[in-house]
Amino acid sequence: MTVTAHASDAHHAEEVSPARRLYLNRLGLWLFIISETFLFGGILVARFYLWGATRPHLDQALGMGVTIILLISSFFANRAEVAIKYDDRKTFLRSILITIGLGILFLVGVVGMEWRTAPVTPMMEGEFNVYGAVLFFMTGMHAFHVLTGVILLAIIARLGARGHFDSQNFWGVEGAVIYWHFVDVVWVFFYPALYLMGTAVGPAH
Amino acid sequence: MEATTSPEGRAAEKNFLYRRGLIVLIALIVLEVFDYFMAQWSNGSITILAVLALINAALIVQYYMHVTTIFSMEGDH
Repeated sequence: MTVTAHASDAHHAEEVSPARRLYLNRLGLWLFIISETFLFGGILVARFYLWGATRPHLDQALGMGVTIILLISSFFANRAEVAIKYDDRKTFLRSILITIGLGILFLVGVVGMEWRTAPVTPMMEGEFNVYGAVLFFMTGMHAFHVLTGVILLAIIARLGARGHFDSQNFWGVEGAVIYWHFVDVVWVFFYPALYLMGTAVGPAH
Repeated sequence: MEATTSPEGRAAEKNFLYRRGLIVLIALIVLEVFDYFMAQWSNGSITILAVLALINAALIVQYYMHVTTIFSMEGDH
């Protein structure tokens, strides 16, 4: 009975065409992205509930800088995806490595610089404690996703360098790049929510 | 863009997609800078900045994440 079931499964797997498999992969990734959207959406709701039309004093130049770095990284990620779909291996590898570098630069900007210079801390006491808690939770959760994206892209770069991907087999690259763009989309909402929306209150730099 | 199989056609397609990616990047950076100045001008209006963030996100989702190709079952963009 078990042998028959396994044979039937194997037969069924053979029947799935590459186009159908790609469709199912994309559908699965987008369902994952939708579930992540609920997570980040909830965090944004918490920001508006707790901060309202106010925000802490943050370094505006740093906020704009890391945002532009992340946007440029998305451009290179897109370039890497296009390159592999057209068998341009050299551009693919170069672009994916630049994306990883920019992702690390973003992490240095947020975790290494913003966290150190922010006028609020996650454990501070007093009337402004809510600013520290929300700021570090939002940036921390996002930075964690950037870190996982960097690791994912590094795996893709390593596999790509070994000739694992080409114009017929590119799902690994496409999936990792779409995840990277999603992390970018989240920051497109987080940046104004943290740095621009409302009136700046509390301790300054 | 219609998929072609000739080397010239594929090269043209690839260049078109590279160029489109660059145009989207420029639009995104311009919108982010505009975001900053709108925040100063409107005193951090949540509504205005939320609309601008939605436009930014729509550009990324459409042109970088190819949301419309999910159901196309095609290999290309």
